[in-house]
Amino acid sequence: MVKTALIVDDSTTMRQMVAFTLREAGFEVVEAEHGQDALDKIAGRRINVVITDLNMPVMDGFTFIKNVRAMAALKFVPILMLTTESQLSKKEQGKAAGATGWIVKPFDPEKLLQTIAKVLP
Amino acid sequence: MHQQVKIDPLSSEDFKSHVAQALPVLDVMGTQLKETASQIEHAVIEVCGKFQSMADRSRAGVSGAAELLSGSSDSRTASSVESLIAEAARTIETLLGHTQDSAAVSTSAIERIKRVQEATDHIAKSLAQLDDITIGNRLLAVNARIQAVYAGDKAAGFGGVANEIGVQAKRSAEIVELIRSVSSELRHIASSALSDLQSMVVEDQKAYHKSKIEVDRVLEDFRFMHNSTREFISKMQEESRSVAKEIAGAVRSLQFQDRINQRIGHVVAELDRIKADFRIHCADVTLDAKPILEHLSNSYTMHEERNVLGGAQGEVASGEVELF
Repeated sequence: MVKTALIVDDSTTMRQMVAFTLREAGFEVVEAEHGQDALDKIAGRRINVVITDLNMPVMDGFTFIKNVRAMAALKFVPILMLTTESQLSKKEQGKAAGATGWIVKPFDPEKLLQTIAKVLP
Repeated sequence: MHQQVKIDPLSSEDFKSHVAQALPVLDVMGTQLKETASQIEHAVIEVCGKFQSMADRSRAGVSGAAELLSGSSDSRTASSVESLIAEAARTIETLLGHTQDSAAVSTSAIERIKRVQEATDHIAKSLAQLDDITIGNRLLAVNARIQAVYAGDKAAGFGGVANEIGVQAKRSAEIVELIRSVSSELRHIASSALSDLQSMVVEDQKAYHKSKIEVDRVLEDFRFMHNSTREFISKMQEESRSVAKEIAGAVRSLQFQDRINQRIGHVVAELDRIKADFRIHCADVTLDAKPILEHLSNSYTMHEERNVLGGAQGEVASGEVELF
């Protein structure tokens, strides 16, 4: 069964690169420009994994994650933060918000796919 | 309706203080711009290097395949696929030729066996004649004995001769029987061998024709496959040239980096000039830069940015992954 990934990032090139990596691995991909756009696109759709940036306009990554965890259907969906942020305090905030993992950009495509494979049920 | 906000003009001292506050930020701006330009340059160099490697490998792969098909100057691999096909065809023709030669030998053997059969027929006829002679000799012996008896003592020797003729006739009959028996066996063996050889020749001919058809078909398939492969490699060579052209186009596009480098360089140079100018005019202003720089650091999202301010200790490295 084909799995679906949601990519949330305000950078078009970043979304393109992550989408390319995931499509090559057989995923279907849904893209969103910020947290609110992602919440709108998630509605009524089965999502297997979320990859989200932190610093985005309209709704940032932490707020987006908290909203996702409040949804019963998405309470346990794996959410990986993919961000330039490297401060330990930010990482702790991400963990507290409900993120499953933290990846500092730039990402290695093979490592990203291995991490996703680990977190997918 | 747009309302004009009245801003009180700053005093000279206040203005100098404002300008002095911008100085540390301008320092950081200049460094950030230089580092950004350097990062872009390194990234573009890396990408160009990878493009070159891709183009080289694509070309090498296609060239290698083409060489394999057409043969190379290296004596170890001098045989091309084409010459191997030709050599295989010649070898198979030779093998089939040997099969035909064997069939010819078999046919010759059949003829010789037929002559053996004819010879045994002659032997049988000769033996029949010998039988007649033996019977004649036996009758002669019997007659001689009878005559010997009639002749009495005067023909006593004649009786001995008659007996001897009888004995020789008996021996002749025995030898004739032996020869007849051997000849019969030879005839039987020859007949059996002839039958086997004739069957073998027929089967060999059928097998030869079938093999020839099969071999011709396989060689034809092989030639077709080889031609298809050659056409495919030719297309791949064309694709490789197209890829190289596209990569060249991408490399041209990546040269934006050089224009950006120059523009950033010009901006940095002007910033340095402005900083130097402000420093001269604000030399008497005492300023605590720490809060300004802290505020700047808090707005940053990357450790490379904070590094310029010396505040990137204990941070997670780029590319690192952690699962909670």
